[in-house]
Amino acid sequence: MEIVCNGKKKVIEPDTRLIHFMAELGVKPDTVFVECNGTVLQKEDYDTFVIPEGAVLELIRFVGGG
Amino acid sequence: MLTIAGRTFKSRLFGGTGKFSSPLVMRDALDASGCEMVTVALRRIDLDNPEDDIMSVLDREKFLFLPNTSGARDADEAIRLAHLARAAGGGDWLKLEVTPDPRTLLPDPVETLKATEVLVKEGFIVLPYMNVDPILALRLQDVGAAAVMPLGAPIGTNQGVLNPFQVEIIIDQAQVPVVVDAGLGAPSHAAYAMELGADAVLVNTAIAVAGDPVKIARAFAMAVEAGRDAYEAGLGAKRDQAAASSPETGLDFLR
Repeated sequence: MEIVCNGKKKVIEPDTRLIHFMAELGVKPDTVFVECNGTVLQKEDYDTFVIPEGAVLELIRFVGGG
Repeated sequence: MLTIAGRTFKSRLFGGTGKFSSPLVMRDALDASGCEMVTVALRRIDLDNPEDDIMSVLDREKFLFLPNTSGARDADEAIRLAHLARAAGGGDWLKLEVTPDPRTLLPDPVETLKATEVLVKEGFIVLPYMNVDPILALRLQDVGAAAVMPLGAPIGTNQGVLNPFQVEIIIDQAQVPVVVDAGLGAPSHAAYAMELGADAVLVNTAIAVAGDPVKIARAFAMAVEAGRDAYEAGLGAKRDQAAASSPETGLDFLR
């Protein structure tokens, strides 16, 4: 199934959990936060959250800024 | 000692974390600056380079993170970024920045006031970046801003305090701390802002892009202390006419 992550189309298996998706991308979950369809997810839910079909995900982190 | 929203700071210099040539240079410069609060921004992860995580070098025990809403063009975008920052464990502290015009990066006063009001009600400790507008500073204070942050000059311009007259009015009127933020390009600019009575200054670009960021960070720290001491000491009044420093009497033997 298709989702959009950080503006890019991605094809993932149905029932993919967020934590596994992040691992595949090489993203460490401890410094990342996630918005799914405009709602911010809690870190403790990353393990169990199943990415819905057509989801729009934003993976965001702190970067240098003034 | 500076207190903002009940938290005390020994250093009156706040640092930015943008534009450094490497994470290690940033870490060393921030250590040299003695600052205890640093701004950070929120951005999408670059999926082609997910390891690029400069925040990993910063010790969050040592620095209070002040997430900014840089890039927000209106109140709604700023509020969304604030929610993300809080969810990211950024805490409740927030540098509110609403800059709709990429050419000037000047803050939008209407949207800044609107967002401050909403975010304060949601429990954020809001430090709004604002133009040098004494009336707006009062309005922001009235809706619960924890400090106000008038600009010295537009972001990244290194031009110093362009409107000291109005900065002084803001300082005179403010019941909350005043942090001069943006555009301070040299330690002398920071010292000057502190001499005017600013409670603190926030410096990013001038440190990050200097030839030796560690050395200039130390220079900024000393300048901020010097400026604060001068303000507390009380500067002599300016005069239009010369006034001799040596006695004008006792020269009879010459004539």
